[in-house]
Amino acid sequence: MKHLEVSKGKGYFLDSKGDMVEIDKITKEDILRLLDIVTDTEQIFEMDPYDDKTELKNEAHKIIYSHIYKKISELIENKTRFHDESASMYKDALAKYKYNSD
Amino acid sequence: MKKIDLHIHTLSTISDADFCFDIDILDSYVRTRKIDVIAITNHNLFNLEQYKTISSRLAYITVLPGIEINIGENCGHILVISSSANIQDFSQRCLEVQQKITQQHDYLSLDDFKQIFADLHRYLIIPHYEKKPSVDKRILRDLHDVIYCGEVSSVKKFIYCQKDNDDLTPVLFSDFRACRGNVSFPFQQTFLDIDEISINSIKLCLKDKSKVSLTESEGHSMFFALPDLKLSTGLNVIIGGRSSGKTYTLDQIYETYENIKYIKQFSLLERDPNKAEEEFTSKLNIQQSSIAKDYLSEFSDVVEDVKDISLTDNERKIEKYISSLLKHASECERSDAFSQCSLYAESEFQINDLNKLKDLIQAMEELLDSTQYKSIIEKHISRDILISLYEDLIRTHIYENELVLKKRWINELVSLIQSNLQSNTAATRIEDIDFYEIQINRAKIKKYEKIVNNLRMPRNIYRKELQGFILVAKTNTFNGAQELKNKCGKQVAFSDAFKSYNNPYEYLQKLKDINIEETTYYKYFMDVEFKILNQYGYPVSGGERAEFNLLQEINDALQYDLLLVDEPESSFDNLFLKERVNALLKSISQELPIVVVTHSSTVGASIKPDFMIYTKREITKLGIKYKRYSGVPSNRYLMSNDGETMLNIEATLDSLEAGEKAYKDRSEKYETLRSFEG
Repeated sequence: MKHLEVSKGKGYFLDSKGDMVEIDKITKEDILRLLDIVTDTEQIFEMDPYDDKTELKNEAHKIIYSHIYKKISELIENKTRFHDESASMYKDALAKYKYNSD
Repeated sequence: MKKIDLHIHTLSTISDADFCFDIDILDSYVRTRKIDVIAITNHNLFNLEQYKTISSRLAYITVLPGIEINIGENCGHILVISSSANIQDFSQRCLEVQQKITQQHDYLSLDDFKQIFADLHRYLIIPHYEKKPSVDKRILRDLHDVIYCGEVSSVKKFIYCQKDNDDLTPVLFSDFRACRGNVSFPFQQTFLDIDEISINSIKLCLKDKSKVSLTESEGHSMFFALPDLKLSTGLNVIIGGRSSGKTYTLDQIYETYENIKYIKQFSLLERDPNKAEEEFTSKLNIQQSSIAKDYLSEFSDVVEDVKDISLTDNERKIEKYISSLLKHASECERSDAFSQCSLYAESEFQINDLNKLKDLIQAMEELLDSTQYKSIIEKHISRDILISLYEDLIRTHIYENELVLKKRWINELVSLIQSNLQSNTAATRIEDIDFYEIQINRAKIKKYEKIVNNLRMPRNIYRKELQGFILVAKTNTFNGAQELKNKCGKQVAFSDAFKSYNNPYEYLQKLKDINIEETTYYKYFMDVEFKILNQYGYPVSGGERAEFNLLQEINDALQYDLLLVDEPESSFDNLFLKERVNALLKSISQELPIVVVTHSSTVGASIKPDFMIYTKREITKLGIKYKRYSGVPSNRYLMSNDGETMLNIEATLDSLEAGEKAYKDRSEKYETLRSFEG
């Protein structure tokens, strides 16, 4: 299922209920949720590409979609770096204070 | 044998407390302590006239001209002592020193020092060695061929340097200020096995440690603790009847020296058990705080890293971004030539962190540079491959670094253009945002919360055998704001913060509102409690607590130059003294002199002292007289300073067994009891 989609000249995003909602209705909570999907190792973030040829007749949708698309693309590009950084983050502390109930 | 004291002050300088020199006092000091050679060593100056006056007054001994100089950046002190034959020349050179050192923290560089005194072999040069302020090691290395000995500040340090082959020959001097009214003469002098007195004969003698000692006849195993009391540099036991002057002797020694550990009689007994337990726990927590600090060090780093992260700020940034984006989009019909420029809605390039790549390059360098493990490394990866990989990483770093610099430059340019465009348009500008940073911050908080929750699980973190006791450290969660306040030790309120104690993120935000040091936040998440258990693993009783304290106090004596213990048997039982205390005292006496006053045969005899002193109160026609007899425990007789003797067995039985009759009675009783066993 796509998380960002272009359809019939409009931009859409997948909301928390699984519905495709017009992109100009996007909120900060939606952005945070989408970011979590991008950085989740178990999930693949899917979105329709955006370039000059993309048919987005709605000008407002075009601006919003293109901007968010670009930002999320950057994050996807850095996903490996993000996971490397996350994996090594506080490694020593996690190992030292790991609770062993035995 | 000659007794020397080559460190004496006769002039008050900027480096001294003010004093008024009195030649009578110096004369009296030299006569009383029977010194053969002294050196006048004032701070950074030499007064020829005064030297001549002193030499003429003390013509019955050798008085050497000298100076004590601040040398090197840390102002270590070094004595330069000349022969009296070179007095004029020496005086001239000292004048140069005086001109260069006019303030308390002025000093001569090594080069200045060498330049002023030129041929250093002509002098006896004695640096402060195991004495503050000591001369820098680098300077000592440089001057090693002209330095024959080093000054130390205590008997303990003297013994230490005597034993260690790598150390300089130690000399102990008085650093005496011969000032008016000072009749308390020090005992810090050194004996040299020489007949003739000259700078060269002294130097020659100092080359051989065995010819340097603290007493005239017993080599370096003895020293004068008081003018009329010679002690072993090891373990000494003072025995004697009640009111015979045992404690008085200890008090006298205590008043004579600095840096002495004195465990007084009954000092470790508990008067109020509850208070004693509280004090004991608190002291233990302070003593062992480094264990808690070590345990929490990784957590402390985590807190340091996350303390400035605010999830609220993150959300606010997203909100600003999305609202500016939506607003900008809704205004598209209002767009003009300025807002339509692509750069107007452009966001900044994200700047990659190259630290990971740098770490990799450094790791490669370590692999390539390792000589110790070279064969193992090359067994698995050929050197050519390593070099090729290293070069690849370097190339990548150059490329990525260039990219970073370009992106930074572009970001600055875009930002400048955007602000210029904005001043010409009514269209809303889109706030910039870094999604990567937002996600990293959230990931950090998640991990931090996981670490706090793990950390709060109670567990034993430390266990160590400590002189027959067991030291354990356990972690506990805090149970209320008062406990946090106690931990902090300041009058600050933790009640609001404690409400969020179970929510690590919120709790940290609230700690930030309290007036406590940022670097101490990590301490308020869980507590580390220390307990001393007895050898069976149970909490210690009051008596055991006192025993533990005694052993700790004795152990602590290693930080001091001398240990005095007054009647340990008055507070502890014989078994404990015999099994634990005696062994510890014996072992510590290898490091510093110990004096134990005792009535107990368990301590006095079983401890196998190196030297015994028997104190006796004698009533004569002239009144009460206190006498001391001393000797090694195997001697048949103990001897007083005035040459009187007494049988060692008599002194021992009188002091430790309540006399020979009591001893025999007791022995017979034990024999009778033993016969029942047969």
